[in-house]
Amino acid sequence: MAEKLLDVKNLKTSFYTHVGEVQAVRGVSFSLNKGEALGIVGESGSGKSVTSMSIMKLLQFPGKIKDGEILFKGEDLVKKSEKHMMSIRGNEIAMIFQDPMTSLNPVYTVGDQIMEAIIRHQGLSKQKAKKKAIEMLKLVGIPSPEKRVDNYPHEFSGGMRQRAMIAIALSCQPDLLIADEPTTALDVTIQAQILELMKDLKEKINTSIILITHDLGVVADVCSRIIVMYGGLVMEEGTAEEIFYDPKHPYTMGLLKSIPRLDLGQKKRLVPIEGSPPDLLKPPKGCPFAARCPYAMRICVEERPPYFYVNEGHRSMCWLLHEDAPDVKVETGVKRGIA
Amino acid sequence: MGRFLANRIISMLITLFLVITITFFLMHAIPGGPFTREKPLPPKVIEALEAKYKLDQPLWKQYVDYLKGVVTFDLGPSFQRVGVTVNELIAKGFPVSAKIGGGSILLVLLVGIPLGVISALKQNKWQDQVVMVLATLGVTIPSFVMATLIIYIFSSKLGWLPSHGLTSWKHMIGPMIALGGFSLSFVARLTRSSMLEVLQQDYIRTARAKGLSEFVVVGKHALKNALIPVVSYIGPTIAAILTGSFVVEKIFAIPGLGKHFVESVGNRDYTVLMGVTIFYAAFLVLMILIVDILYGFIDPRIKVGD
Repeated sequence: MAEKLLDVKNLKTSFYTHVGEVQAVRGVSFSLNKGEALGIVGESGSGKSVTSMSIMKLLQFPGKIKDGEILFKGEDLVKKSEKHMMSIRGNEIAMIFQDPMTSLNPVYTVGDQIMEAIIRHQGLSKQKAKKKAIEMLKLVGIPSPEKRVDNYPHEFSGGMRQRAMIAIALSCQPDLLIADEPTTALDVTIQAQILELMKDLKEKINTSIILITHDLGVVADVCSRIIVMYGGLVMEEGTAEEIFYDPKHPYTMGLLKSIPRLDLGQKKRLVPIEGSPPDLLKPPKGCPFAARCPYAMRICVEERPPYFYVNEGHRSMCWLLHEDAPDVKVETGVKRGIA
Repeated sequence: MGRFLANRIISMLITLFLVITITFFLMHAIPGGPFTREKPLPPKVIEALEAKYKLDQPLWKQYVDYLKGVVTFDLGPSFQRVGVTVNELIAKGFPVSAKIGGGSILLVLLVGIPLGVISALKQNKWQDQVVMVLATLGVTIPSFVMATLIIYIFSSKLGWLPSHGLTSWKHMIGPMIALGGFSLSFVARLTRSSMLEVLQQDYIRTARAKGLSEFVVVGKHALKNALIPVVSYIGPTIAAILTGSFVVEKIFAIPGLGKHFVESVGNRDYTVLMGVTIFYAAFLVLMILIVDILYGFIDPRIKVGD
C-alpha cells in the first residue's frame, strides 16, 4: 500500500445562516496517497468546493467544520490552530482557484505575489526569492520570465495568469495541490495547456493533486481516481476506468450521459438529469439523488443507503447494489477509444 | 509622464481662466458695488473712489487689467481694507487656515481610515456599530453645531480646551475636530464599504491560501485596493479643508482665510473675492492633479501618461 498523505474521515461542514443550518458537506470520507491525483466531480452545490476549503480551513463566515477528521500526514488539521494552519497553507498544501482573472491582486506585480509565499515559508532574502520567482515562472512556461516577473496581473492573459497562480502554488513544493476548477474560466485550447502543465509539474515536483471540477473530460485526463459528489455526500468512488466504463451509481451514469460527444452525431440529443439538487437547508432523509433518480425505489426515499463495495477501491452509495434490488443495466454510451 | 504633466497643466490653466472669467462677470452682474452703503455716500466721493480703483473704466478694460495682474501674481489691493493687498491677506490668512486644516487632514487620515478598516473587519459586531453610529452623527451634524458643542462641553463645562484664538496646540484641537468631523466620518464610511467589498475578492482568498497572516492580508492586500476610492475623495477634501472654513474660524475666532471668503461677498470687495476664489480654485485643481498621479502609484491599471 502506498503512503497515505491525506485522509478525510466523515467530514461535516455546515453554514450557519440566519435561515438555518445549511449542511453543505454531510459526512465525506476519502483518502489520497502520495503522488496520486484525485478528481472530485459534481455539479454546483454538491459540496466539492466546500470540502476543499475545509481542508484548507479557509471557510468563510458563517461556515464551520462540524465534525470529522482531516488527517494530513497523520495529523488532524481540524484540531490545528490558525497559526499552525498558516504555516501549512501555501507551504505544504497549496491551492489554485477557478478564476485567474480575479485571483491575483491587481495592485501588486506577479513577481511580488510569487515571492510573498517564498519569503513567508522559506525565509529567503528578497533577491533570492525574486530569482526563485523567475525560475517558477520559467517552469510554468511564461516566456522571458526575467521581464514578466515585474508585470502586473492586468498585463498577463488569462492563461498566463493561471500559470502564474500555479507558479505561486508550487513555489514552496507543496505536498498537496488543490485545484478548484482550474480550467473552468479558460478557453478550450488554454485548458488543455494548463492541464498538460499540471500533469507535467506533478511529476517534476512530486506533488499530490486534488482536482475539483464539474468537467468529466478534465478529470479523465489528469486523475487516476475519481470521487463523484452530490448533495454533500460522496456518491461513488473508483478508478477513472471504473467510473467511466463501469459506473454503479445512477447519478454517475446521468453525468456521463450528459457529456456532449461528437460520435453521437447531430440527431442524438444530450440527456440531461431532470430536476434540481436537494435543498441542503433541509437535506432529504434518504438518498439525496432519489428525487431525480429514474430507478428510485421506496427505500431510497426512506433510508440513506450505505456504501456498497464493488471491489476494494470502488464503492457506491446506492440501494441498487443491494442483493435484493432489481438488476439495472444502463447504457451510458461511453466507449473505449472514443474521446 | 512629462507629456501627461504638460497636458494636465495646460488644462488646469484653462480651468482657472474659465473660473476667473465666470467669477469676474458674475460678480459685476450682481447689483451694488464695493461702495454701496445703506446711507449712500455723496456722489462725488463715489466718483473719486471709483476713479481710484479704476471702476469707472469699461468692464472689458477692467477684466483685461485684472487678467494682467493675475498673470504677474498681483491680485490687487483690497477695496475695503485700506492699504492691504489681496496677496497680503492670503499670505497672512492661509498659513493659519492651513495649520488647522493640516491637523484636520491628519486626523481624517489617521483616524478615519483605521476606523473604517476596524469597522469592516468587525462587520455587524459592536465595534462596527459604535463606529457607524459615530460616523453617521459626524456626517449629519453640521460643523457649526459641532463647533458649538465642543466649546460648550470641553471649554465651558470641562475647561479642558481653550474656546478661542490660536496660540497653543491645545487651541487647535477643537477647530480640528469641528473642521474634519464630517470628512473623518465620511472617510470611515467609505473605507468600510470599500474594504468590505475588497475582502470578498478572490485575490484575498489567494493571499490567505498562501499562508499569509491576517495582518498582511488586510494591511497589504486589502488596504491598498480599498484606498482607491478614498484617495479620490481625499484630494478635493484637502483643498477644501486647508483653505479654511468660515463657520469654524468664526466660532473659534481664528484669523484664517475662511472668513475672507464670505466677508468679501457681503462687502463686494471685488479683488478679495476674486483673489480668494482663484486661490481656492488653483489649489483644488492642483490637488486633483496630485490625486491622479497618486492613482498611478496605487493602481497600476490606471496608466498615467496615456
